[in-house]
Amino acid sequence: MNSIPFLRLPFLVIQDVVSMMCPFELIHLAKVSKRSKRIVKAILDTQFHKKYHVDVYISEDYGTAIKNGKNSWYYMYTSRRIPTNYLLTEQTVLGSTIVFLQNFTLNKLDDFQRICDLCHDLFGDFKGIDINMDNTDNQSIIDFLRTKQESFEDCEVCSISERGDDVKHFLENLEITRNVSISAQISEDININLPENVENSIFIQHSKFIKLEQFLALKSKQISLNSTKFTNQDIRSILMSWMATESHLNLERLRIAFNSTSTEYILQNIPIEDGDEFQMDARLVELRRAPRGPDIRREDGKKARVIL
Amino acid sequence: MSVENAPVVDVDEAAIPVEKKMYYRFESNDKKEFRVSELAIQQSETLNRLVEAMGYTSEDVENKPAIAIENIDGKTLKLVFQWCEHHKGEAIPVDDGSVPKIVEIPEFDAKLMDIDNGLLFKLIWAADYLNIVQLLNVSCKKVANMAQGKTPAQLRRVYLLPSDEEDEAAKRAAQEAQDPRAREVEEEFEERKRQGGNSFF
Repeated sequence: MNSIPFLRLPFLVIQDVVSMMCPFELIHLAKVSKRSKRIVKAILDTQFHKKYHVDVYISEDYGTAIKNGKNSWYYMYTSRRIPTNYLLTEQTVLGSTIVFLQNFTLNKLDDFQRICDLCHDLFGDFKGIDINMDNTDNQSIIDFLRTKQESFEDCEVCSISERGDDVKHFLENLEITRNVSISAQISEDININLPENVENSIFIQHSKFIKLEQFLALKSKQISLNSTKFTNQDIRSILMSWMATESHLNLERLRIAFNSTSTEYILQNIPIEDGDEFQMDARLVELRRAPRGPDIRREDGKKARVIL
Repeated sequence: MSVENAPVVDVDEAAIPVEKKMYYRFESNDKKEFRVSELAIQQSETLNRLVEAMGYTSEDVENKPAIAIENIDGKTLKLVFQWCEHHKGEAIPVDDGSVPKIVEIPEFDAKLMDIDNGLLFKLIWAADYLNIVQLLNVSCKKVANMAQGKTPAQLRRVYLLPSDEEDEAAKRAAQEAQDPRAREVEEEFEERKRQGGNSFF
């Protein structure tokens, strides 16, 4: 094999070479020895400071996603048989490139923990967690992640099968500070403490387990709950609580899906003003324009359009 | 050595002085001489500053000895100047801060660097010493490309990286070289251990 004495190059040249490597190559270089790891880390700490961030990524395979804002490199471990021990696949979507490296292993939990350790050492704290809970290792994964750090900015949790206990374990052990998205199946009789201080957004797909008091304690800017078991009276209480500045002081957008045959009662005897159609924040993708309709006013003068 | 006796290498037809184009003469550490155009020299920050400081006229270039570049051999310097002549007049690239750093290797550069890794290693050192930013970029990119698709074990072989054990052994050897008594003490310690002694002292 054609070789070159890498460590005999000037350090600034080594820095240049390393700066041209993709995250997979950085990881593999760091795996060679303690010394090569120190070099990669030193360069990441100086030249690449904060230009990469790492998310934990759990699907059928386990691994980490290293991202630079535009492109993502998924370093994964799989126990499924793949043609070679390393399988590289790449796709480009809307100018962003997503590259997957799947490594075959007989013990993906152990290897996942090792790659998490390495990525944490190299790139710093994880930013987010993207976890499909249709696996048997959820609690071990959560317990392990808690040993690395207790707080993450974002999470996306999903499952097809019922995973209420695992979601509960997740939310009880890991703090999520900015964005929570949970589309895992959760039965309505489970008692889960929702994170109240999520700064930006909360989305929950199966929300029947959420009680009114829990909902009123949420402080996020955007809240979106699907399939709740809230009643007309609950919705009315939510609006009145907001108007009295008793809850949701930071709220910018709220969407609640609930079963009701008639919603007329909700605004009964609540002072409303007729508001014009207006353009909504482009980030709130589902509804670009708010239709003409009733506005409710908060004690401090802030208004909100109610769309039923 | 006079110009007549020096093995002059015409790097590029375009580099041969025509009309009033300024050129300079350089000599490698193995006494090979090169004529390089002023525009090509601008690719090298080091050489550009050097010739500016010297303030040579065309007559000086002919009458004075070639400028010696003492730590680069002729084979390497030929590649360097071929590259500079080909890319003369091009803007010096500025790092845009992207990660990973994006560098394309043009076809000419790829052919120029189609050399054994020993010479590539020297070319990189030369590009670094002469501060030729884009040549350093493309040669570093070639080295970075060697890592593509490699496992850690393969990378160890490609980059000749020592293992932890080898690093430890080298460290011990370096310490012992500094303090010869350390080796004697260690051997004595090992010998006592073999004899079943509990304490060294």
